[in-house]
Amino acid sequence: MMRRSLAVAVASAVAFAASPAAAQYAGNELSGATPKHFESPQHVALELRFSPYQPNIDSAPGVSGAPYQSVFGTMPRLLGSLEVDWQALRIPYLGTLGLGGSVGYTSMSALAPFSAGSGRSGLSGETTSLDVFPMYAVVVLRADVLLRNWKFPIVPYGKAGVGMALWRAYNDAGTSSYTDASGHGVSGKGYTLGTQFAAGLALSINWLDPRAARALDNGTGINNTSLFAEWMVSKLDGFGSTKALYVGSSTWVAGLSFEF
Amino acid sequence: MRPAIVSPFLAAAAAVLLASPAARATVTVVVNSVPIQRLNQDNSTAATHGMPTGSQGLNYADCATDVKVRFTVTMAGLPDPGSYVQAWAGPSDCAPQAARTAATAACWPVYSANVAQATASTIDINVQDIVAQAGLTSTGLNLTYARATKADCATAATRIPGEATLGIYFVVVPAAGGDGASVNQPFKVKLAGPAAPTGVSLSEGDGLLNVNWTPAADSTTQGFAVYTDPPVSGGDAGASAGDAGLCSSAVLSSGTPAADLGAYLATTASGSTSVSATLTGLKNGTTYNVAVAAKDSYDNTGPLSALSSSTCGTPAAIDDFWKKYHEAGGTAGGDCAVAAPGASLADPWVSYGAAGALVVLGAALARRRS
Repeated sequence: MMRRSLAVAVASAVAFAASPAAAQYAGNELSGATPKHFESPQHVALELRFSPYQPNIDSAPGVSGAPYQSVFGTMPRLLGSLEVDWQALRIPYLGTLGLGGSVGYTSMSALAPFSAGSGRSGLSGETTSLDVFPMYAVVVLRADVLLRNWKFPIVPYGKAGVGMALWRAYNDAGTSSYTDASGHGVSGKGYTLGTQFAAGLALSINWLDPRAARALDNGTGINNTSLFAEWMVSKLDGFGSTKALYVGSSTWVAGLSFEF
Repeated sequence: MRPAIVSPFLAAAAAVLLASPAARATVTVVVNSVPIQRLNQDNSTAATHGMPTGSQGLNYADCATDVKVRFTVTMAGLPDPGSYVQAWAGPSDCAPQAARTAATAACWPVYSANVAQATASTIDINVQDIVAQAGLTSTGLNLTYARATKADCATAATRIPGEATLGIYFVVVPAAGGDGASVNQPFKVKLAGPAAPTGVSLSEGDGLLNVNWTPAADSTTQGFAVYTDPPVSGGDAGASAGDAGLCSSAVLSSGTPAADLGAYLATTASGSTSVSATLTGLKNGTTYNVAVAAKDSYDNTGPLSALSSSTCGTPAAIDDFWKKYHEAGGTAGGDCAVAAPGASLADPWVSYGAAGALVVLGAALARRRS
């Protein structure tokens, strides 16, 4: 019991420091006073999101071979992101419908090889890197009727919207630049637009210790703390453009969410 | 008798009260000293070095470039018409005659003439004269003024490697000799830079070298200077320029004081814990020898790190991701990023921060509505 309470408390403290009200409540619990039970309004969801990320650069039309993999390898990088949803509408016997926005960051680096014509072989001491800053705006449907009406702690949800990623390729001397045969220089920075979809399941961990969950709600306004896993399709391809850097990815995401 | 106010422009004045038992008179020697004027020998303003003690700090470059400091000395109401002022330097008060005599001397003369009672007198004192005899014992002191030289800077640096406080004492010497009274202008002096870094190594890139080193344990270190031979902008003028594979340099020989190596300075790194620097603008195919020296808060540069086969490198062209992507047929890039007004497109963090701020703002508004 203690361990479960601690899990809920620690998870929640990631997002919110305990307020004086919460401290007061805990004091009453210890002293045996009867806690007041109420549920605060719920309008916002905050997600801390983590996922492996391997951009689809090599699958872009017109790109031969695998330039991304030849430099950065096949190991996915970690994408960390933050999503905030406004649960604008509650649909009876279904759940909430709202708008969400997210920003994230991932980066990949590797030592660059010497050019074939340089007379050198192997890897140089210079690092080549790619930073990607994915973001999106989505409509979010959370079907929390199971949780609210039947106390079943699973919440299916889905998201759909548009995405965008800022990106920058650079090396030790700064932003990369490529000069083509016609002498036209192309700077290694830009953005790519696309579509964004996701579907997943959230596991409310309030049931681990309902009293601690109520205390958290009374003290901080957090109604639900959940672990979630989802499949995300970030199709950042410039809506089919052949001049876009395909930095989107289809990948699973896991994280922690708070609804308040 | 009240001290004479000689000039309203003597912002910082030091008063010496010469209590003459017979006359009970108070006399004043006023030294215009703050801020101290630092001049080159041609009387142009000398370079400053960002030292923590400002104009009252002296470093090796001040000595080597023969900087002088200027004072205006005015005497008023001296009871002895034949008394005069001398300028001495030392670690302690030079007013007692014993401090200026051979047996127990602790001071040395830093000005060639006696300054007679007169209106304001300008006295230029050479930094070389101030530091030349620092750290010597009384038996080694030359108590007759002799112009010091640049060579004295290096020898003094070996005697006082750390920070030392020296004073310039304007001593009022009675006509009959004996003890005087003095006005003291203290100087913080540091002539030697921190110990040389070790473990210098290079990695090569496209027109660049990444330099890594291990700082020596020296609490005075404030930064590092990285030198190359040939110099970054100097083409093949260096000792080993263009000689691929030749890792030697007469210019960057280990331990050489780096004060005169300005033409070979490639970059600097600030902070006592810096361990790396990137040298850019280099010529692919040219072999560069690299040495690193530490700098202290007085802007002194310490000895150079040792040269070895790991301290020379030859930049060469690379294939970075962007190049490989385009050579594979990719056509993206070069378009405008979404940036805040006035922000540089080279910095996507600006756009990113703006987007994040909008999300946070939205969350805050939503919470407020609740």
